[in-house]
Amino acid sequence: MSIVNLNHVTFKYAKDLPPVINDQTLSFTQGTFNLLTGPSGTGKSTLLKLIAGLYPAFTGFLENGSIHVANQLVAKLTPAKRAPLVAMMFQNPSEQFAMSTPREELVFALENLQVVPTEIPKRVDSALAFADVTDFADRTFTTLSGGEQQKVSLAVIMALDSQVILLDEPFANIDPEARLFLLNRLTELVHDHGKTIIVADHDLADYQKRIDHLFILNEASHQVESATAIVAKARFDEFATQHQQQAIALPVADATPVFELDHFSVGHTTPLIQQDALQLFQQRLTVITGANGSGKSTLFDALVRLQPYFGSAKWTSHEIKRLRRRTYAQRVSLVFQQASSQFLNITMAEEIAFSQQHQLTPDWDKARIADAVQQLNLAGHENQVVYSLSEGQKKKLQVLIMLIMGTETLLLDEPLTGLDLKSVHTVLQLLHDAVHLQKQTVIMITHQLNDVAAYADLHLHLSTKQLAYEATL
Amino acid sequence: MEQDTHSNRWHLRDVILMSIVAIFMGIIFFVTGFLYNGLTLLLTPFGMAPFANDILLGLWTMAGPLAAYMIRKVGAATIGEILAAAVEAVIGGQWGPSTLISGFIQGFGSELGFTATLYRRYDLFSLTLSALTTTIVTFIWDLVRSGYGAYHLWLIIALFITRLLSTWIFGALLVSGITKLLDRSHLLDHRNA
Amino acid sequence: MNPTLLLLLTLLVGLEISFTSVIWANVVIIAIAIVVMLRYRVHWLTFVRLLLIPLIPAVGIWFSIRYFSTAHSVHFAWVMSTRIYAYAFLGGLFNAATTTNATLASLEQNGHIPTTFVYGMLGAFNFVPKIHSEVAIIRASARMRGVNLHFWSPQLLFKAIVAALNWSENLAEAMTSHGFTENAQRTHLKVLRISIRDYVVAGITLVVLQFILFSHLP
Repeated sequence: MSIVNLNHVTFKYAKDLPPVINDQTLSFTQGTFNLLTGPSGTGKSTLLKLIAGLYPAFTGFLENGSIHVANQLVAKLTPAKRAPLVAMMFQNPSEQFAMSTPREELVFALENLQVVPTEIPKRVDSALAFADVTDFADRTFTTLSGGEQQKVSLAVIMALDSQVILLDEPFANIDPEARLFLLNRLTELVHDHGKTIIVADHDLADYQKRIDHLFILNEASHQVESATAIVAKARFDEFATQHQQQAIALPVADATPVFELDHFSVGHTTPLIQQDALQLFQQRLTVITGANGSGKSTLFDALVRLQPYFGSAKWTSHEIKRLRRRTYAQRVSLVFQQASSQFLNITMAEEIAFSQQHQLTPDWDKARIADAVQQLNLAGHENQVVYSLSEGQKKKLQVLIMLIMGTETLLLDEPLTGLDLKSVHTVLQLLHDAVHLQKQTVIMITHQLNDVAAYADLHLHLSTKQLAYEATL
Repeated sequence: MEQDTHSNRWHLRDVILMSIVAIFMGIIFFVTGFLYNGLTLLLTPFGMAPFANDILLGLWTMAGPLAAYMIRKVGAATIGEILAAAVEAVIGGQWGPSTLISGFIQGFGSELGFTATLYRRYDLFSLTLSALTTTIVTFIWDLVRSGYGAYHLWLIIALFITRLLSTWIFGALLVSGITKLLDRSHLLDHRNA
Repeated sequence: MNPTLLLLLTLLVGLEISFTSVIWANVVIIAIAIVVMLRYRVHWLTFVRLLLIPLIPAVGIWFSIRYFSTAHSVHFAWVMSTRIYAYAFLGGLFNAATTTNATLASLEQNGHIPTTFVYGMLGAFNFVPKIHSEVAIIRASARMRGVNLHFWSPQLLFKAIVAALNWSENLAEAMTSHGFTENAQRTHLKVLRISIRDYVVAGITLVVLQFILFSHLP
């Protein structure tokens, strides 16, 4: 029996834009675990928000069609009536709670549904226990990790007792243990409680044995298609074997360090990294890998003085916390994980001109910039508002404007996310040139490892709070 | 959550938006607290301390015109400024009555500028008009509350001009600079469509 | 006392002393506030803060009234200085007697403030740490491009608004997904009421205040 039905749905963000979802007819069966995959920024999240009834109420236009959940038109229901039918776990763990603690949030949700007060504590407690939240139910959200916050999100959905559970890239910023815990609980919800689950994820790991159906969003047709067993198997096989490890050099004895860590530790509430001694080297392209939530970005934040650290961290023999922010920022720069954090202007052309105007070395002249814009497939977008670029385009522009600056040491946090394979190569080549032609130092955090070894010099891996060089990548 | 743009009802995301913007302003303008104290100390020996308040007043009244511009509803400036005052009361740990009363007075003052254009103009003209009404209304309030009424006329006039300049520079020029960037970014388009 | 009633009471008292000029009224308000705060065992640093923060403006206005008021009145100078302290201590009293969450909950149930405002504001407070780091990120990002942003730079507030637009959209969607319906009926796990005793205390306070204000005290 199908519980979610889309009937010829066409959805646009604005009347004059092309549709994101085009003439979509689709149904999901009750009591099944469904995985929705496809390139990032193609509309997976849009589809989920349509089913959740959030769109078009919040954004966009439903040009045609209708969406039913449990035979009810979701757009016509009030949020309080909708929540028991369908609820959602969101991509950014910290941006989904109104109250200050997990327990208060669950109470808030049940009060919204007008549950009688005497029943609230019982439902809250059992939902907290199911999601393993009881231990930190009264701590404030701001002290919880991403993984803990997503567990709370699951607890809220449990308390609401929603029939259909939607998850929008829910594991993007959480550690592998929390991810596995949540996946196990979700599987339990399908098998023991008859819930229907639709999760949008680009990381296919651990799903193959759990799911009943794989759906793939086709970028060209703007439609979701149900994958046949053969197609699904091929997808999972391709995912499992996509990266072949390659040998990479270990640091040589006489290399000049750029960063030196000594009895260093960093972390928001608990230490994520505890490092006795470590050197990072000048004029190398160093790649840092490690699981989600292990502290890679936090390390970068500490290195650019966006986060306090304990112990010692030196940049070219100077203790970082004692350096003047203004001058240090001209020597060590960060390409932020969140692309829009990099932008200060409105259009792409303005961003490039701004970097050119303030660049520290003349290495990047007009001709070279024009060439890079071409290679990165950004040509023709010069007058586009940077915030309206696709995620991949934002990433490429971000890398370009920071390369134009010519900073001695450049840290990059996930610069390859959402890039097509050709762009990955172009960006890596540009970074390689920065190191080997302009003598810059490049340190890059990345999840996407395909073909990276061909351009990188060193590989640092972070696990169990320690960074160590590895001979393979 | 019906997107009825003719309604003057604030939606949930409007309230969250302006509350977050208010917290941002509180943090960004935190340094001006020291500036205010420094200026007051400097001016006290000359009996000119009230100028410190009037020089910086434009900063504290920015939330109103900004809300009017971003939310585009009747009462937006008033509600936006009261919201900012409430947020400031909570974050600053001073749930004082004076914060909320000032918030209402300032917001109401800013509102009149937009009322005068019948909520049809959102540009430097209406922002300037709003700076003028903010100055007049808050000044009348300070004639009573801050004892400005007891001063010699020349001092009252000097304070008024200082305040007008401050609200114009921050509440009209700076707000207009911000809203020009917002307009060019088209990020508000779908909200006010 | 019920937070909504207390808020109304402090607002009324604050308004009344703004329109009258009685030093004694201000002093009595400060004294009552101190007594109430002592009863709530407020940390001594809070008292220090309440004494220091208004000091500069209070001294400042004393001198300006003394020098530049048409009557050069010492009495009015003291009225203004004590008034500033009375405002601060009214705030101190309110903070000692209740919390933000209790106030907002009471404003929803007793003050009938639209729930959209109550929960929208509450939700925004979860962003305080993120807002702090976002300001640092915006400034750092500008420094890495060779410019320094100041509090008067339009880019700084513009970038702040860009972040606020994203966050408010995400939180509003999540709250809606958690069943929040704008200004709709909700049940309450803890039902809050205003007790008769609260009304009596508020009434007595106001009556006493009128006596002090209108009995020709300095």
